[in-house]
Amino acid sequence: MSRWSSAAAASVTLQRGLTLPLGLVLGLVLSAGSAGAATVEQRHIHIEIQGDGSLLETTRLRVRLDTDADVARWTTYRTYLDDNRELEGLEAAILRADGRREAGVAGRDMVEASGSAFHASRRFHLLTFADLGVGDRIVVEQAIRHRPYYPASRVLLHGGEEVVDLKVTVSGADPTTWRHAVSGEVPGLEVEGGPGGVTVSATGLPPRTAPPLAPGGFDARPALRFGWGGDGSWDHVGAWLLGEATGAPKGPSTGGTVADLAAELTSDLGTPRERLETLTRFVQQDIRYLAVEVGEGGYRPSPPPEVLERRWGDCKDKTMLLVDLLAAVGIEARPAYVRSGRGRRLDPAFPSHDAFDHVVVAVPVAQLGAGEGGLDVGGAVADGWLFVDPTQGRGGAGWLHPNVQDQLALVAGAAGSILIRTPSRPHQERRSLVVDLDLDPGGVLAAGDARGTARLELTGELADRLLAELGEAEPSSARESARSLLAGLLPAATLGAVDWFDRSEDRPAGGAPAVEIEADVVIPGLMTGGSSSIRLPAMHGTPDPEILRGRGDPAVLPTRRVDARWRLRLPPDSCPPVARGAEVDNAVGAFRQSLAEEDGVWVVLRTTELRTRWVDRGDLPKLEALALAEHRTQRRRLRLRCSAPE
Amino acid sequence: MRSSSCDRPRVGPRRRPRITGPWGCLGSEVRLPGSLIALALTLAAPAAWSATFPPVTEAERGVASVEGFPNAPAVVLSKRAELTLRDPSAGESSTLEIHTRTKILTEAGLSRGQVAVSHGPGLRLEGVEGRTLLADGREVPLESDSVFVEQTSRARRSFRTKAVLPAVAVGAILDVRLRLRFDSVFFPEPWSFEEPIPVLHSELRFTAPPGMGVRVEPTRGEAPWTSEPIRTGGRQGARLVMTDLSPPAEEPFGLAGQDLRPQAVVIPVSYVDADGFGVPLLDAWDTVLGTFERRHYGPVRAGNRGLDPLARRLAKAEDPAAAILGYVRDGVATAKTGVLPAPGETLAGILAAGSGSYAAKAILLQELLSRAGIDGTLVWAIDWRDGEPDLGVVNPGWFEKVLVRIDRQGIDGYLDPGDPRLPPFRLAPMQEGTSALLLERSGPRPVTLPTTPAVGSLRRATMELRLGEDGAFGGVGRLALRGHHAWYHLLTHGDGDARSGSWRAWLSDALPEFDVSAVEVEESVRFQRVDVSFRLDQKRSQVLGDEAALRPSLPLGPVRQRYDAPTEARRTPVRISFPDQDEVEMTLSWPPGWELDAAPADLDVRTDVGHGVGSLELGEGGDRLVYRRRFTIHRRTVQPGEPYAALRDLYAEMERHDAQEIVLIHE
Repeated sequence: MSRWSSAAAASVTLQRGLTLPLGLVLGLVLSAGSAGAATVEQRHIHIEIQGDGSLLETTRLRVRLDTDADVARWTTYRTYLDDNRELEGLEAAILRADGRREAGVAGRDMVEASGSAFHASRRFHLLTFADLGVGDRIVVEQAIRHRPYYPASRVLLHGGEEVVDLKVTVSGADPTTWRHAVSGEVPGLEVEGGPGGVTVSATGLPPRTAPPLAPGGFDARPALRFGWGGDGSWDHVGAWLLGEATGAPKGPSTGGTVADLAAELTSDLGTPRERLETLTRFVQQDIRYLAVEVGEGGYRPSPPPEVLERRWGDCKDKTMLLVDLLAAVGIEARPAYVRSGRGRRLDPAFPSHDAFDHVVVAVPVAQLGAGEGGLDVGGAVADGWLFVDPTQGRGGAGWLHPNVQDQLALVAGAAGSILIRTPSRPHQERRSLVVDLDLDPGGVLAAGDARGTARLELTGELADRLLAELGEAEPSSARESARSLLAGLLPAATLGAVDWFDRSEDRPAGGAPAVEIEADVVIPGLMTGGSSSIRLPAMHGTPDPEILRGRGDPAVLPTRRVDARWRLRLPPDSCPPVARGAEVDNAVGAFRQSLAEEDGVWVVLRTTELRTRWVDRGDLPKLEALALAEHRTQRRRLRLRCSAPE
Repeated sequence: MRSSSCDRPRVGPRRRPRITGPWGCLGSEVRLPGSLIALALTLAAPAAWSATFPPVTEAERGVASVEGFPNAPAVVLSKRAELTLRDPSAGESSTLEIHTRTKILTEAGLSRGQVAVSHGPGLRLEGVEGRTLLADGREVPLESDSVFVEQTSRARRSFRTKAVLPAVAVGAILDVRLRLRFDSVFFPEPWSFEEPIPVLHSELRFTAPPGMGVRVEPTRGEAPWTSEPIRTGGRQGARLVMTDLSPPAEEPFGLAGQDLRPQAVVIPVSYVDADGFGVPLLDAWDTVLGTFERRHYGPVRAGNRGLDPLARRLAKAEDPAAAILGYVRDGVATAKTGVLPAPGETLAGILAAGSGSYAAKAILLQELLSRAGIDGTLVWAIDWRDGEPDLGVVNPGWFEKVLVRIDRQGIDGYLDPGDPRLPPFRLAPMQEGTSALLLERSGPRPVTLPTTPAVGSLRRATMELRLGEDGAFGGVGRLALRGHHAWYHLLTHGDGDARSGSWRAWLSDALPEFDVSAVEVEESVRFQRVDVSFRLDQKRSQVLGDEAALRPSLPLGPVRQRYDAPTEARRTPVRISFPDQDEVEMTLSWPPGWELDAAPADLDVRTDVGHGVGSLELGEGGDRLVYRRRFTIHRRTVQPGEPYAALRDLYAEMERHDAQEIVLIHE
């Protein structure tokens, strides 16, 4: 948990009100720009682990600027700092293309930037080089003192630029507790371990460009991870996190009676599942999400009574409040730490605190009145635990945001912590289009045009985001937003009055948020070529197959289900449509198109399901086959033929 | 609002927050985002200033919804500002106190419970107080540990202060009060009565000390507020009130928000100095110009060592004006916008540093031109994205940059010293057609800056494609950009391989069904042109073998309807970045065995706002066609009602036309 909101130098907004940062990565100053840009001629980092557990990190960097874009990007050199990361020295120079060396640097500044958090103790030292030009080199030598909360850290090894000379050394650790690992594939990387340290070196590392759908952030880039304390187990990490969670409060409690509130909210509820739902919804809706991290507050939650009193908090605040509320009604839930985000995943082989950037609640299913083979409690259940995210604005305990699905979660407990993979639930992440069209509307329309109705049903994340937007908008602008969404799926269509409905309470997809949008529609030119064919607009659930061709990098995808049902009433004298059936079903997902006549109406049904969030190299051919089938099938027109083709 | 990669580029949205806060300071143009200042607060209140909140009325407690806005997440019950102008001759600072009272109506309104404000040396935040009044009557004060101060720049000594109000819940009333202090009144910023949520009562009180003349004016049009004079303790001023304000209409592709409803600007006209003499302030543009020349521009001009030899050298060029502009524009980096030079700037100084403010660069340009025998006049220009205020209101804070006008064979020609993408006599689209102020020796004179017609900003795509035996399209294409379309892309894609790569990415986005290769790019700032040539091969996944379809408007189409709102729902004008014209000419041929199955019908739509034309010519052999398409928008501003309907219909017709494919089948 890389200090779930603070230590990050980069962050990503995952959903409304839930902003999760990436972890602290030493050596982050190396720009992670596009490949093929500047040439890093030298990058030497030495990290000395001090007796007091602090790190002294010295960096020498020399970068040659090959293009105007390099000049623009390297003119300002940023160094990430925070309360525990201080700049002890920084010298810089410019080696001009003509060989002159200039020690002058135009300006220095320090800026505080909370990023996606409301406030965080996070700042950047900015060094501005004067009048750089193509062919110039910049040289930076800096020393940083870092006092980590947990005895582990990591160094980004390859950010994107070509690196001529890379050398990273770590030394000074107690050999009995020292551990290290290199993640990511870097051809030619040499790793030489020793007692209490390691040296990683390489020459001539080529530039790297992340392809589309690549894992995001640092998870996609090679890194050296190292640790110098504890026993290197997830139990130790869990105990440390739990210690932060249950340790001394970071501020005085101002009152608030968690147990009283739990009792009040659940007094007339009979089952544990009902109590869970009510308390979850209370924390989701009545405690507003707001991240404020100052120093250790990046890891340590505020006391639940304080959170209850002030009515705001971040993921750890809300999680610990919900854990306490549930405990008050007899449900012994635990915090479950996760690495959140579709393009991220935790490496189970290297236990460390900075593996996580989010925390949710794990509830034992057995305590909800459902045991093995018992009642279906509804929601995201894996290995006997129901995972609930109190930072979600909607969905209660029945829906888990996709960013937290299919992720390893560390369910922390005093007696030990266990890693559990949260479930994947594509059926709750659904986009469904139903279009009912008449191609013979009585001669009012031009030949080939069609008239009817269109209905779009969204559930899960898409519905959640849409409801957040529509819920705040005035009725007229909400209708326009809904219109825009539907129109985007039906190019050139003319839409009549558009209505939208929040269907969440109808629970069409368990507890997931649900929205329905519907309108009358006229689609011009649906039938073309002298009434010989029909082109139905495509609605893809898979990525462009071209980005999968010959790919080696893993692809990360939204797990979801996409389906379109076209109901077509053809003119009486039309030939019947002919469509090639298509069906692919493999480990990654499935696609199917069918054509059938139902009471004089031709029904084309296309369904795509993506079941796997993270597709590794071995499964990429399956994904490509799926994507090719879907794209080619949807590109092809329905032919109208009165006799079978020869 | 839908868009696609091949949509016409827009200049916007504006990055800089709109100016609506308090009043900036002479010497440092301080700008505050209005939405922040409106609810802003921060900083634990110092002992020297402590505010109390007026009691909540029964009527305020009873507000549960706002008529006409059933989904309003919150409502501002009252927004009150008190501006106390001090006597500048006495060295006193002026103050602005703002009190906002907001009621939370729905869960979506909980986000109104946190606020932020920017401040710095020119605008000092003196104190903040806040409280939450719960529906059950409890009062929870804003504690100092819920206030966070971030230094946004140590070098500029600027800060952002944030605060989180406690216990915010539906039904709660939030009181926030802040006090700001500033030293100068020379850049009055407009005051906005509105908020992004409905406002029931909004008022601005201002008073000036004895001897100071002040007037309040709307930024444009008629004043929409009621006003009553204030006379107290020798001070005089007025109280301006507006009630039942709806949120600003933020419609897609609209005008700058401040153009939609006038804001109030308090203009200090004059004051009496310590010796009893009347000193004019912002009474007239003449006065302002005089002050600028004396206090700001004059000192910049005075430090002109080394200018003469430079001017002599540049004057020897074949086109001295172009050479001088090129030197100033490209040889001196632009460090700061606005009409004020940076403190201490001189011409010699910026030449030595290789960097200067827009204003100082304009003066440098003017001085170099003068030494080359070319008479240049400084021009204060606005950016329409910040609003187009009435220049009858004297306020140098309206302006974004300083240009230089020279005579061009009897016609005004404008030089922009700070935009490296602009050659002589070309303006950026943000300035074209806007009001500007010519700082002539005889006195300032408002002018309207010239515009480029649609045909001057062109995108033309020429494609030569052939269908292969295997059913895959392939061929070559050229994309030519001129005028503002070229300006939009010039110098923004790097150089060499980076530029080719960037254009390849652009084309791949605009031509998603094709692999794009062999991209070559030529660009010229002088001629405002970008030319891109490329090769296309249809992606394997798109090839069906017996059926081939193509959207012929690529890569400049297909147009998507961007004006989704029905005519009757559109309330404000559409502001188009610049008039322009798209042209596509595609030649397509196919081998024996294939035949044309479908093609777009011809199109010819002509309206007052623009026109669209599409036609297809089939070759005599039946194995070749030429498709031509032209889409032109003439207007910059399109009013609601019939003009908007015409624009919307034009887009609808283009969308319908572009949705039709050329279909070839193999029987």
